[in-house]
Amino acid sequence: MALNGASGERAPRPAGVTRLVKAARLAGTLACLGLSVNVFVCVVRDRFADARALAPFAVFAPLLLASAWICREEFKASLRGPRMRVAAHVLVQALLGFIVLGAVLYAFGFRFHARFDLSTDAVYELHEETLGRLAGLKDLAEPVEAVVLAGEPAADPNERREVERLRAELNALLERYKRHADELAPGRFGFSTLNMLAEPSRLERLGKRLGLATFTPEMSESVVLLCGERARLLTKRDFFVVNRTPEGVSLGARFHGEAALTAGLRLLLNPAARAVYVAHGHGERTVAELTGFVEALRKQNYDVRGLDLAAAPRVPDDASALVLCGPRETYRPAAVAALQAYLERGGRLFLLVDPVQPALSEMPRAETGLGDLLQGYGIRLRQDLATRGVRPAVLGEPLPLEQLVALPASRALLLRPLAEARAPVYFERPCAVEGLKPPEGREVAKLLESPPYQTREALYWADPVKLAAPRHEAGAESLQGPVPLALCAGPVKSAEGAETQGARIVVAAESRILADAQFMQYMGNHLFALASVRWLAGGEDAGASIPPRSPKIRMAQLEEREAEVLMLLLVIILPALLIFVGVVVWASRRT
Amino acid sequence: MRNFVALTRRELLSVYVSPLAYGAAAVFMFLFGAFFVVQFARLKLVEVTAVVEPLGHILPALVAPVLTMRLLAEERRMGTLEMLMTAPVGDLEVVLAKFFGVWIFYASMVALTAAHVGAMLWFYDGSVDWGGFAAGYLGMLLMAGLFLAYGLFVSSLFESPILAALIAFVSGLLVLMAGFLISSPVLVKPGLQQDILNFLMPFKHYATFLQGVVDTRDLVYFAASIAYLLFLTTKVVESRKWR
Repeated sequence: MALNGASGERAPRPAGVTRLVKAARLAGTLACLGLSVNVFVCVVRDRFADARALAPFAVFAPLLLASAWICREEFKASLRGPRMRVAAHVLVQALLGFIVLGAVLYAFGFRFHARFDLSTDAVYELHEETLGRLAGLKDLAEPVEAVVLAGEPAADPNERREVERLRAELNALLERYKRHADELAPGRFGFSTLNMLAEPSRLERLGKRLGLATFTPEMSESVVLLCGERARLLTKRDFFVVNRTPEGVSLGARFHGEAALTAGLRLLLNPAARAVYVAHGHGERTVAELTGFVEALRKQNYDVRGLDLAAAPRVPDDASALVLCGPRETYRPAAVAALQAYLERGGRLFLLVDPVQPALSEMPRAETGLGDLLQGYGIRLRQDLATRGVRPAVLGEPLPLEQLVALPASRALLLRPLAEARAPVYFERPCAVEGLKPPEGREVAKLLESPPYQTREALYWADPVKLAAPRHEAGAESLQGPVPLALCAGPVKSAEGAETQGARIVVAAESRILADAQFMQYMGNHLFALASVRWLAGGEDAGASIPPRSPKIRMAQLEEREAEVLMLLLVIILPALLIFVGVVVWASRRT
Repeated sequence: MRNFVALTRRELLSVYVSPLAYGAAAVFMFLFGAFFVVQFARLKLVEVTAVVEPLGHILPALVAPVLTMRLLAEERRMGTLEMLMTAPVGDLEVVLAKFFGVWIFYASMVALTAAHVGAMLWFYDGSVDWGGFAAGYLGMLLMAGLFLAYGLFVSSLFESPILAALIAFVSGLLVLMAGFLISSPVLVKPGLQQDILNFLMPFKHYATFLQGVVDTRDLVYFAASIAYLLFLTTKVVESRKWR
């Protein structure tokens, strides 16, 4: 701005110039605002490479420069003023403060951070089996790396949201693994993300290690575990357990990432698969009928095979476990002899029997013929049906019973996942199994039993055929629960806690618990079956039967009337009390 | 330290004898009670989120501007701030005392929600996740502290308490909305920028506490943000001496 030379006063500006300066100041402010918004949008949308997104810069930048040139005299004068000096001081100190804040956040927030799960359910902590697996990494010559494959965001917003949720869950889980691994086996575990579109050469190298020619877009959000030359792929499917209704309708999926990752780690480092045979030939449910169960076993690295006991009555030597799921016919003598021989050489049998029920087409019409064999190991199959209430017969066929919930009866190691998940096992029409005095050197333990007073209704042993006239009257053997619904038999442990070699048997009172609808719908059924096979196959410390973590649902008993009282107390009376106190305070101050 | 304690006591006293504070507390309890009862009657869930979620999200954004608007703006308008500045107390002590005074008052309002927790437990006889409740309340107090520190900072910028409250309220709501908008992959492309924006948003850190988890990263975030806002407030108060 021009000064009057002699007096040093400012020369008056022509009105046109003043108006121009005002307009330039306004234009400059708007240009600043526009540039800031455009920079922000480009940053958050990552659109710096998009020419259309950069067009506003071409408009706003010259406008800002022009306005700065027009207002240059005013700007210089304002820099010399006291307000600007104050503003500059504050700005510099604020910037210094911001830098210190950033350093503190970085140092204490990221480099040295700890996380404590205070909740009772400990949903966000790792299972001790996982911690044991991570501790074992310190003995490895090479570190393990988890690579998360990130694909292009899906077009459908709902699908995209799901993918985002899964990615966030996975990242949080891998962070937990990394944090614990850094404590237990420093430098032995790490993870990274691979952008499938932006890093094709890295993706190709990964494909070669996995033996895959191409990666499909569906494989995004998969995790590849790498250790030296070994590689293992965990797909999205592995990270979820789908709950279904008995009709097969999906009830939604539960994230089961920890179990999948820990199982993946185990399989990466110990890839030998063990064989589990599912027998058929006497009306049992076959491998084809037990798809959910078979798939779950395969995820745990079991090699599941079918075995026709009627055609070839011999159990192969490589069988880690044999599953007999719901035989509907009596086993032929040759098959019984094969089973006996198998057990005598330390075999592992998972038997799921149904009550003999001639009135129902889906139930066996004859006994299994395994009674004597099992009694030799301390287990008796009863002919009774465990129920929870009297159901009248209609047209000769009883109505379906309500589901009978069984809870873990034993603190046995094999049922720990079940107890941890607080997941009951659901039976519909179970028979009753009974533990007898076992032979010397062996023991029998109850695994599952019904609750003693379910819905305040006494349990009883019912007649298998005439449900309308159960044997709960005078002279009945046992009228009330708990009813044993699953037993296990095995050799007694030595004083040191080591278990001697010998046959192991798990008997469950209904085969339907392994059927797809039941197995996939109820987490308890899922965990019970997997834990049983794991115990039978001798993998107490090698399997990954980690229950999915979900917080316990705590429901209050609240009636509508009580809710109204609550509304009155908490929404009306309590605030009114505060207003009353405020009025008293105000009045006392006035006086 | 002695000055700080004396000033905090003075601030607390001035809040507890202010009818406006009781009015704000009544509005707070009314809104919270309505949120709580509607949600509890509908879902019947005995969990920390039923109590703490509205306390940490919407209520601090609504109540903090009302509680903080007068703290510095009113003193500036009345000219009492200059008197305070001439007293042998530091600017930082003044700002800290005002902040802790209002924070303690907010905590005492929150203490009244024990009635809501008690009502919840009256209708439930199972095991209670006390650890989850402790983490949730800690997060909620930190969240409230952040909003109060921000309200105090805005109050230091203006002479009109109403204007200070309005600006703190509107900007608080904008932050609240931004937290939801940033989570949308449609608006913000997933990647580093979304991670950074998410990190800057207080609600993401608060969500961790609601899960019953205490992460030092979240503690450091809240402590550092509150400290930075109080530092800025101190600088604004201090800048009056430079003019």
